[in-house]
Amino acid sequence: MNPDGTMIVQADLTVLLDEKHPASTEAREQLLAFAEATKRAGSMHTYRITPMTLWQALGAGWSGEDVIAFLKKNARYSLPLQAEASVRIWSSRYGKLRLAAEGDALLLCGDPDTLQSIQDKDFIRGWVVSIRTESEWEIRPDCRGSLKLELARLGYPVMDHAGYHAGEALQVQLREQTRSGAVFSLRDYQKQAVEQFTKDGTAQGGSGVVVLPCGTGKTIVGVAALASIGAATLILTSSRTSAQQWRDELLDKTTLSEAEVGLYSGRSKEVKPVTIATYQLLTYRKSKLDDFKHMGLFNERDWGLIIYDEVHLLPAPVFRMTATIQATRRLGLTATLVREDGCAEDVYSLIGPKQYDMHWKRAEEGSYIASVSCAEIRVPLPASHEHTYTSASARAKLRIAAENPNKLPVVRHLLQKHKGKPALVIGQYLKQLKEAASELDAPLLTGETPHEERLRLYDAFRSGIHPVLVVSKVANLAIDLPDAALAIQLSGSFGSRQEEAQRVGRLLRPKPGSNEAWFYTLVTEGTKETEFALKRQMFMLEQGYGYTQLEAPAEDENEFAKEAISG
Amino acid sequence: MKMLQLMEKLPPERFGLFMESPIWRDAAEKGLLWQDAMVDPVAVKEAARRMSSYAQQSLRAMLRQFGAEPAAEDRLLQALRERTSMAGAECRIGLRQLESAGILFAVRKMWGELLYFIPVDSFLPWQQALFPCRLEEKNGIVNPITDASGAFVGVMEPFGRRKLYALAALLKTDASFTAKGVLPKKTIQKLDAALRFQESKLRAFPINWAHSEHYSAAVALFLSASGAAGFLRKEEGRLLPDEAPLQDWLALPDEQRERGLLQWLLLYLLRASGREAHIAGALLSAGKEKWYSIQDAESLCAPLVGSNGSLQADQTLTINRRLMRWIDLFHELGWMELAELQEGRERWMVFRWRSFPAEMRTDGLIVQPNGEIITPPDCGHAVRWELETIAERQTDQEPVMYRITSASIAAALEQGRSRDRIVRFLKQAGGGEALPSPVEAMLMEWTRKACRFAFDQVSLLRCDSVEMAEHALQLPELAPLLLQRLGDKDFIVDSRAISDIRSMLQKSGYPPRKAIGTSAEGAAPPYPEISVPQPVRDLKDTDSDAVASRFFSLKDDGGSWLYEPSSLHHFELVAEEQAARPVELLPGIESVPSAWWRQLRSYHASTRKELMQQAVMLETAVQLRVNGELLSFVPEQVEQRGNEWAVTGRLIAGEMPERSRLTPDMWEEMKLLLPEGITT
Repeated sequence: MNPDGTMIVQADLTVLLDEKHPASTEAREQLLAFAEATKRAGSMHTYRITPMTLWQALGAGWSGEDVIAFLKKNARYSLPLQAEASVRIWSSRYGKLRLAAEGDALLLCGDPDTLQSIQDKDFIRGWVVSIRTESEWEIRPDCRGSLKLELARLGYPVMDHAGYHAGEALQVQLREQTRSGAVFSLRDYQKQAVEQFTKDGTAQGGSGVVVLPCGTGKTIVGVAALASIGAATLILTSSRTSAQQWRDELLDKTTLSEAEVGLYSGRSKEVKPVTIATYQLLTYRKSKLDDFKHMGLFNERDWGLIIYDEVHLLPAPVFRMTATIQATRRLGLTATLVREDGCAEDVYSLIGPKQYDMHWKRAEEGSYIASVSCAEIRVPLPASHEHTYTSASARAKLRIAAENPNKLPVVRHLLQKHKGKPALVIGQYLKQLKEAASELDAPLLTGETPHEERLRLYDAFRSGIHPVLVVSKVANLAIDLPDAALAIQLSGSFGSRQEEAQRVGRLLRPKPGSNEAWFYTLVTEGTKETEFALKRQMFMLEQGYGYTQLEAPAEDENEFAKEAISG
Repeated sequence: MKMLQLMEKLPPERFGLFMESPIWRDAAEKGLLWQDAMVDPVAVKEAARRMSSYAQQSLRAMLRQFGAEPAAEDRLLQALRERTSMAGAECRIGLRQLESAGILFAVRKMWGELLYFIPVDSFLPWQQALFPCRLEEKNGIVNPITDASGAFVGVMEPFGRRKLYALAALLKTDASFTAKGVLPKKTIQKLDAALRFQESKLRAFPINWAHSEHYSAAVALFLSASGAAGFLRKEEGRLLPDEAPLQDWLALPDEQRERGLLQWLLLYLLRASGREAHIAGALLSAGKEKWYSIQDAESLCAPLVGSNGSLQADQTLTINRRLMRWIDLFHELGWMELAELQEGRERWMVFRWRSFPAEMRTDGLIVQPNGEIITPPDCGHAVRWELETIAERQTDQEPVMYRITSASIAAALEQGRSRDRIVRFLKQAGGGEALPSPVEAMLMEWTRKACRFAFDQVSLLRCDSVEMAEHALQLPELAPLLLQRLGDKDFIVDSRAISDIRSMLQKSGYPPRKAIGTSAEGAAPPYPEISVPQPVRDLKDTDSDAVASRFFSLKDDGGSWLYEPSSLHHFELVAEEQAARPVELLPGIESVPSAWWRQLRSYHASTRKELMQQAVMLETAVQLRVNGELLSFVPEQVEQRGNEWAVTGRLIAGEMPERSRLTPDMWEEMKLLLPEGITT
């Protein structure tokens, strides 16, 4: 046993990094070169080394033996044989196969032994046009993505040096002063991420994934990559609101005109040099037997770049489509590559390797994101409601707990406590939200609010005319409220961990001054609501956000809020 | 038979007599008792050096031929004749010396036939002293082996750990026997799931067990090992835990526990393995944490296991299979690690014995805010025991990860745990650190509603009148047993106190009705609460080896789950006779001319024949000068064919005797060879 070891390495190459260890910061920086963070709960953070993460490290100059030496040096307990052997085997396969272009022909070149070992795979046989020599095969160009994907799954990474077609040229530059008049420049890490992605326009760059924590400006990285490449671009996002936000950012921070940026949505199907669409629309079809009629968008213009926002949410049909357009540059943006379906490896194969990854802790240390304090406040049910609650059906109980009238005074306390901070009050039930809006004299934003009215309210919120917005589930979507420093969750979905994460995510953008933000979730004591709150918080705990538990104060008491802030 | 079984059969004064043998001189000087010396590798090695050649050859030949299995007298003598250069009288002297030193024993079977044996727990020390196996450590790049699908085969969790999982599973489920006298099917399935044994690795050995149509070999092994350790017993139609021995067992350091289990298992396997016991001996002579080549082990085992000691190609395959049977089992039980080692261009299949923590921590848990609990490899079993009841095990690789969930906490409450106790345990096992507040919140949430109501099977003491109820209350020794009064005439009483209450009432002149209603009969005992970390400290302060030996010395066979192979303890031990039984050597020697053994002479052919016949009768060897060279010959039979005669026997040339037929013209001179130390 090595008591100075900062990490525990398991046989399957799961690495537990002891964040309390004085040398953990240094170890983490190196570990991130070949491993991926999966959980940040408590003092032991979980990382995973996979073939893809290792190959990316090898591409960045590490060797398999370097990785083994690092793990041996830092491991608290002996390095399992399987872990060591896996690193050796995976690294021995790296660089053995590469794709190259020769005119219109696509070539798979490399080590004859490796090529021989994959020759008998059925899927390969169908894609090979001819075997020119024992170290050079000609491949069908349309199989470029599928080939990479299948070989990666078999444990043979393919270095794709076949290059990209230029696509339709587009004159575009980043503005030094935004259209709204603010000074604009890329942050250092955003600049680095773009450089890593483009790699000076060589065949080694041009495709890959940039991983940045929520709130650090992933959209800006996408906008800058687009400007750097200067080609017609298709941007795919996870929601309509997010698509709108992309459009605003492009118009605000680049020289693109409105005529050049189109939203491809249900209402208007504009295919412009820069077109923004949602995954939902692309994967829409009338029935399971029908085709995805909007998937043709991939070929409607000679795109030079495709940007996949929230790439961890990429749906399977878009995956399949992406496999066929490997000659087009591709940029994936995400805060996490942990996919619920475990297909993170496929993202790397089809979109490209991880080009840039900034750890959440580094982002917080660099003040690129705000420091958010989370607290759960238990609010008792009024005595008059207790009997109703006990005798209600299971479903009705949840609603009674969610709409607990005692929550409103607590909201008032919190708003008073954080007076001057832009605040969101978020809830599930319209009746409750209406009451809250009326009580707090704040505008109410719901799914029924017309788009224009919503934008007007956003502006009023940004300018401070309305420091408090009461919002329904719409706040769950990717709206942009850059100066919200306080969020109070009156009620949430039963256990949607994504929902809570997104609500906290709203607060992460850097704040002027102390760069702090607060998230309060109000739950009714002694009801089912506390159980669901616990489930929602679990995901956040694993992302490194601890919750302070607070009791609801008496009506005239403000002190608890102080505790929440310090906690 | 094992040492403890033997000790029960022998009068204690015999132990001292054994130590008077010159064989044990070194051990006696160190003050060792016979029972300790017999299982002490150093004492046994020294004793082997002090043995006479007859004793050593006899023991070597016996172990070589029979391993740890008992041997019938005639088969033993035949083996000695075949495997040694000794004459019959010399064999008898050797055996007698071994018996006098308490190394070899005999039992008498029903028809008077003698069975010789050495106590099975002393087999390995003797095997390693008499057949030292010099395996050489291998160094090079080590890679894990792969299974048929190409996946890496890592180390298995050690048997002791899996035994803990199975025991925890058993005590959380239905441990009562069905009408067939076996555990319910569901329970057996849970045990198998907890043990995760590849059954074929166990079944490769000739082991037999009770209810084999219901229990897997793994479950039988687990039940046997738990029964032998004394913390699981059959009682009242169910399996019940014994908390004190369980607590002590859980407090053992891993190294000691696994070593003890290995020794315990060997007691079964060695007796059922014949000469293959030498394979176990050879493997166990390898040092810990060092890699050894399986091929080397095979070469070393071949002469011991093969029938004639030669290493032929087809035999090698068989020996390899036999060797792998042991290696696979040790690997399956988590005691051995297998790999492929690359040394230059050569590749070797290698093995190494794993070492386990010799000191355990009871405060090293890491409790994460999301409810995950990380157990370091040196986490004590007492802590793991508690985790098994409050949390769900997530992984089986080191470090083992648990997670508290609403279901696991609900189950823990069912087992009598409370939120306070869980919090206290996690804090203590986490080194005193406060629990992360989300964990506190989870526990609060999950314990808030479950088990707030409970059913309890108690008994009702029903009085036929208020007057009788008052009478009961006035009995001073009875009053404390009346837990609660219900109405005017009834009391709640603890079911377990019924017989006491009955006798108290009887004494007071009011014998209660004999028939009783429902009682707690059939209720499962709660999951035992193990105090942490007290036991480990206790053991360190005293003598953990002594505690360990209690679990693994195995006076009994663990509730008769596994059938004991070659069971001898039902037979009559002939040790008592041994003390008084003189060895009858050289019968009729007094009538033999002394010149026949004093000097080599060339005799007439008829005298040569007579001398040979005398040697056969005396069971001695003769010395022959053949072509000027002196050779020993052990004559067995003189054959007459017409006027010609010949003698058959064993010619001693080199280490192994050679069966020969000699005619009188084949030697120049001869004399009788009396055993050393015989004076006439």
